[in-house]
Amino acid sequence: MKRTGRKREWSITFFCLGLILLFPPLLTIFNNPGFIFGIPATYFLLFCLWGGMILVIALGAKRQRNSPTDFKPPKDIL
Amino acid sequence: MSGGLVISVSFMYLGLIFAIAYYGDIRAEQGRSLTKNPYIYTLSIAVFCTSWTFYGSVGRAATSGLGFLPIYLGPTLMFMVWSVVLVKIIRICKVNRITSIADFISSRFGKSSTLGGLVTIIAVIGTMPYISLQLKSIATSFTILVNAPGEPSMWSSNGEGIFAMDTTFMVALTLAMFSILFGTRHIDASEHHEGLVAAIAFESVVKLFAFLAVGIFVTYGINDGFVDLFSKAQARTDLDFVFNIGNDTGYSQWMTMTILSMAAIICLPRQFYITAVENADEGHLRKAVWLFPLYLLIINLFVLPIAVGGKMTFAGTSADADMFVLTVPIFHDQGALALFVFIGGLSAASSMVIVAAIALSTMVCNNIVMPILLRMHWTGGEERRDLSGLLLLIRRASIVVILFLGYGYFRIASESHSLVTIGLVSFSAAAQFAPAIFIGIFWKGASRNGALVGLLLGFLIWVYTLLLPSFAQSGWLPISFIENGPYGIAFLKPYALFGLEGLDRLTHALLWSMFFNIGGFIVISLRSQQGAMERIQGTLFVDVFLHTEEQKESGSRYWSGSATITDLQELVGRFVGDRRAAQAFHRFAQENNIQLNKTTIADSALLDHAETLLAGAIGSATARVMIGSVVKGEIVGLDDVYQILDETSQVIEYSRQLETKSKELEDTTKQLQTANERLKELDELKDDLLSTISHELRTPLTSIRAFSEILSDNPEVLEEERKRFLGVIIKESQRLTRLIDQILDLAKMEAGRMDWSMGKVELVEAVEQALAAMDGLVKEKNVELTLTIPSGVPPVMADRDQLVQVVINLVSNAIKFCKHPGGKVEVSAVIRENDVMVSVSDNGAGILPENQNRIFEKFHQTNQISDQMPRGTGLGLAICREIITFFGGKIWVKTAKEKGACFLFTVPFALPEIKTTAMSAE
Repeated sequence: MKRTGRKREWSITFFCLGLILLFPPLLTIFNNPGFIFGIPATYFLLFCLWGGMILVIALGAKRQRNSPTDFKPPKDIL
Repeated sequence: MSGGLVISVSFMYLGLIFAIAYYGDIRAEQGRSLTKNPYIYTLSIAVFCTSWTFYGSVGRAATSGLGFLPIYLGPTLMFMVWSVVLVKIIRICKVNRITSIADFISSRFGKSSTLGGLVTIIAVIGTMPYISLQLKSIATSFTILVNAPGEPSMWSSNGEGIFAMDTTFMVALTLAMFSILFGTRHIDASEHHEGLVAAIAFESVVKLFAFLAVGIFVTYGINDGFVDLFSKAQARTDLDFVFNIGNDTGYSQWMTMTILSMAAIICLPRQFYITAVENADEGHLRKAVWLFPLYLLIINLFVLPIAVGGKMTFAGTSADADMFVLTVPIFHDQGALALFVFIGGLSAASSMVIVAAIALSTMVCNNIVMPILLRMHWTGGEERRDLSGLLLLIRRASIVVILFLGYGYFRIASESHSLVTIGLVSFSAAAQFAPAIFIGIFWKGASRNGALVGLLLGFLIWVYTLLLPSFAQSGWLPISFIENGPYGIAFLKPYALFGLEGLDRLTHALLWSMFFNIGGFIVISLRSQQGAMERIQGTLFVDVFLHTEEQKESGSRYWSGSATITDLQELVGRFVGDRRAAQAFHRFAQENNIQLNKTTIADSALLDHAETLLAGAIGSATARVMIGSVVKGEIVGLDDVYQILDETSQVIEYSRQLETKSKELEDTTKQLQTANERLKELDELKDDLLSTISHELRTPLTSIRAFSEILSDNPEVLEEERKRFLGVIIKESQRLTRLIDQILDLAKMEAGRMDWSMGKVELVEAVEQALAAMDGLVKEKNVELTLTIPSGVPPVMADRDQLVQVVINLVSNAIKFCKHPGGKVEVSAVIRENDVMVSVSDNGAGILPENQNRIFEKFHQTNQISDQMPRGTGLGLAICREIITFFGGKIWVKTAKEKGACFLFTVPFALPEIKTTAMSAE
């Protein structure tokens, strides 16, 4: 992700993406009776998605070099 | 396993927790905090994982597949927008020193105590099922453990404990005791309970490891890893559903649970308390927001394996799937592991119960009991009692009540339900707070009445569609209530309200409660007029970053600008005039060497410049508001309006002060005017004085000079003539001397440099002396002088010589101005209360009333008598006035009985005691 200083917008975007993925009808894509690496596909995919979400949060929550205070957008966006 | 062993291990564990809490508090007091780091904070948030997670998830997975997951996906989703929601809530809590969710909501809506009370009631009733779930899980796991090993059919959750008494009741009692020990040892001044947080964090570690231990045992101990376990399960036909989400109602419930858990991670009273109130540092969030979901992920990793393992282990029996975590190790004769699991379950349950009890008891105390006591004036202003004992008592009592409400709910409604089902009832109750919180922190227009109505409606629907039916199912209400609706009204069937059928109970309840909660909240908010307090609080909450980060901003305050240069110039022009605004902008552009393109967005420097320009015209606060209104393109914020009002009121106050000042000024002006008139008069007088003095001095000098020249130029003047001339010269010289003496005397008196020799003076003697001195004149003018002074006039306080002078002046004036011939002058005295009044009257022409005041002025001479020669110096009366005033008396003139003038003066008596004798003498 490029550092554009728009973390809040990104976080909301990912939140919406998460909601869409975790709600039907997209949820039905994960909800299949197959197996991946011998593990139930639904279980496997949902945990992967979950892990991905955690990764996104972790990346987003990393302290930025140029913004000492929490949510102050940098001045260059003006 | 021996019940005694289990009990003693349990108490040892609780004792350990208590010791950790105690140690945490000590460390906090020493300033070496254990808990102020993101990892402990994360673990404390994990109080979210209760018996529900520890035991219930497996049960859920064993009955409905992956349907247990939304409870953990929801919080993860919520934490994705941590920077939008969570930080804001935490910041608000810190800024406003919020202590609970009830405090938060009541504070947001104008510090309404009614709202705080309602939130507390909803929280207490809503938490009731949740606590019953914990009690049930501890009691059941305990029963199973002490009865093991035995037949699985014996492990029924309803079995009696080793004591011939109710295990659940004992559990409730024990937990109540521990909650009291934890949370209410003393009333803390700060909102932070570090010891509690440390203990909760430790419990989170215990439950995680206990659960992982079972998971690893099932996956790698009994089976050969995940693949082996799942392939074994796959081989069976009855376990397919476990791997999937389920059918159509499964989806609706999935969505409902996701939404509920998203709300719950913030709105559960204990979650709010730990996450927002106990947060030590906002920076900790940066780690916690992803570590906490990671904790959830890890603890859920083995839910499905354990469920599958349990299912395979107890295939065909009626074993309670909620207890697989415990029963599988027991089945495989892992006693130590089973005990560890029990302790893990205990930690999961006890952490929830302790935190919930503390959070709720604080709410009950602060938001229900104290407001009532205050309203009843029970806490009395007459004596400031130490209320901490009372507060502790209230909190302890509420903890006991809350736990026994949970026990009561267990007895009435939850014995037959699975853990997750019970828990979801609580989640739905907590979700009722979500609209008030989430809408409240983003929409200033949300009003107290809206929140009140929304919460009340949502809560009532929750009671009707979830709580009451659970009572009915247990037989506490007639079952027809569910089947046919109250009084047979099908339209009001609690599981198919208003004819809405086909949804699972949870979705149905959430749909209707949220419909009425959010609907009522918004509609009433739009319809109601906010009070001042509501507006202020609303602004404080919604604009919390604006208010708290403004100070941090070193440079421009406007970084999110969207105002064009034209906007700005127009705005400034409105206040300072278009031409001046254009000039100022132009100059600014030249100085900074920038192009002023009309449509470009104004940068911060220009905004600051515009603000400075405006500030000169309309004051700094107003200027900021105005610029802010353009920059943000929104209506002026309410707080800013308050600032404007504040400034306006200051202006009003200032103008009021100005008004009084101008009134004072008017008065002063009037005084000045009179003073000026007086000055003018005095100036005229001075002119008169100078002319009079020169005239007065000139007249005798002229005659002296004339006669001297005659004598000098004409030596042959007759002896007789010479004598006459010399007589005139002597007389005029005397007159001149007298005049100069008088002028000097008067000047001395006025300057206060006169040497007075004050003392007791016999008035009669003084008057007689004066009259004796006038004897020659009297005879010369042939005036009839009469003196009438009563005997026994007390001595007066005066300077004798000066008093004689006064009488001489007055009598000589009288002689001068009385009728000629046949002049009469009368001197008399009257004894009064404190002084003696002397009058000198003549039978002359008198003094016109308009001149009677001015006659005492220097050189004032009445011109009514058309003699060419002045008859006096014009200083006599002025000197008299000076003297008498110095004596403390008064002098004035009135018209005498027979037309002439009558001068009167008073002289005070010398000593007060003489006055009485004087009175009697009269």
